[in-house]
Amino acid sequence: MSTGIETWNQSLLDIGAMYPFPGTEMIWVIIGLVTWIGWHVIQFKTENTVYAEEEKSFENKDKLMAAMKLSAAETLDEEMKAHSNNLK
Amino acid sequence: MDSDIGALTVIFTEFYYWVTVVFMFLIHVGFCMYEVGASRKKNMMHTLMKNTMVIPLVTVTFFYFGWWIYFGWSNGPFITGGVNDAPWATPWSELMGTHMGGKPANGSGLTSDDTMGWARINGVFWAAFLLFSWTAASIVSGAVIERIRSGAFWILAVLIGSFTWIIDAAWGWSPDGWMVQLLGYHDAYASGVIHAIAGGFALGVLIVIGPRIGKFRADGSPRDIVPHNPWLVTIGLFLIYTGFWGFYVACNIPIFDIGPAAGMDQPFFSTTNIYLAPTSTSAITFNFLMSLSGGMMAGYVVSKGDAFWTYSAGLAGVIGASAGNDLYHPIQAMVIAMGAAVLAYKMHYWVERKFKIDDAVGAVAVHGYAGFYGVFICGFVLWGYPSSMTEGYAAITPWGQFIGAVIMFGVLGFIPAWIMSMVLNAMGVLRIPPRVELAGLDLAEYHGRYLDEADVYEAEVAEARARGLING
Repeated sequence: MSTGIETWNQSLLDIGAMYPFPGTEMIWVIIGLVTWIGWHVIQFKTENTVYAEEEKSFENKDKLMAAMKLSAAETLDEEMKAHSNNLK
Repeated sequence: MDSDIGALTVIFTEFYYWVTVVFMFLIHVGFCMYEVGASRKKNMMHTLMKNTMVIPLVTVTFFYFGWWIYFGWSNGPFITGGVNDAPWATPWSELMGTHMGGKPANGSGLTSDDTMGWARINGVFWAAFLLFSWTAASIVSGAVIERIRSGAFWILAVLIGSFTWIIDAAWGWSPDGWMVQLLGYHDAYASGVIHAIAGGFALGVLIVIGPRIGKFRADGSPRDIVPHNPWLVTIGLFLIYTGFWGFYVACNIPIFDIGPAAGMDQPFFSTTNIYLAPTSTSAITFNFLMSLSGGMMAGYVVSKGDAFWTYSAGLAGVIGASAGNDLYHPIQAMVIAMGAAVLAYKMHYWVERKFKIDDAVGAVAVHGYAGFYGVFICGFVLWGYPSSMTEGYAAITPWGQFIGAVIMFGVLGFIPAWIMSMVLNAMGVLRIPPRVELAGLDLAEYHGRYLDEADVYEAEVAEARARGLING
């Protein structure tokens, strides 16, 4: 039983493909393509679900305001905001 | 591989491209750091992952079809010929895997010369082109931060990274591409084939997706959205500079006998550009550094010392001179680079004000406008130079370069991006929903972690109270 090369004790000039199961390349390509497309499908479904849930959750206006305040506080601290208001 | 010198040449070339790939990896690291630094804190993780996942998605698709397109479509197809046979580059080829160079399997379409020639070069050559693919997609990534959905961006990344840019490489960045044959197109270090196309592509997406909420005032004047971490931006740009060295040498072939093509009756080994025409690593080192310097000097002056624009102008300078940096004099490269830097800066703000385009990192200007300019100006400075070693191909001209720049920026950059963005927009999957954009993309995608963080804080307070460490 061998999946490919059985011995290195031969003329190395004659060795071509070295990976196991030579001749099955097309099957691997199909597996690869399906994996790639499948990944995008799964990702899109997950992303759509996450954003739909978040949009629904932020329909609560107080919650959205709180989240925006949290984001703004991270970006620009209160002291900086006060300073910038003084400059205005 | 049966003589010392033959083995040395092959294995040096193999190692050479491998080193370029490692260097070019730093471009992607740099783009990730730059984008994360340029985003606001509420969007950091989304920004990071959007660009990080370019790596696997463009890699696998470049394996499946990108590499074959490069060899298969150099005639258009159907402009100077049909689809080329490229059995070493199909994803099912035995040469797209571990191979010792021996005779091919029956029915593979390969010859013994194919297997001997490609067995040790195919993977590293593929990877060098692949890293260009990541760069093209990554340039677009920066422009659209803080409002594009990751899933939509990854479709667009595959479109440019594994499809449109490699078509332009087949057409204008290969020794026998139809643009080289008919237009005399010359773009040695990719002013057009990477930068103009990526800039045009970014513009196509930006027009459809629109600006970030709050970017423009009611009167239409733009607000600055300040990078949350300028130091990360700085290191990111320095890493892009570093990776650019790898990009430059990856555009060359290190050892090639150009004697026969030149009509000599003896071998003449030289480094060549991608068109198999002579240059040297020393020449491009002169020109890379002088064009970087010209860009930075002009950028500093025109932006009045703004750090972001001085760094970006360094990139714009190199990009502006890249089309002809295999042949320019270093001071010519420097002067051309200065023009590119000023153009990128001025055009960015003009387009922003005039058309309300929110390009978060100036990618359209630095890559698109500077790349377009670089291709076009090369037509004047190298006017009359042969575009390749093949007699009978068109010489380099301003009009050939102008048409080439339009193809790069517009035909293969802007138009496919605009069409795909319109499709994604019509499906409702291009832009982040407004409430989520306002709240912050990380709050949506990592909601659980934020909740856990609040829980951990409350648990710590409770524990501290229980131990009598705090009042209450």
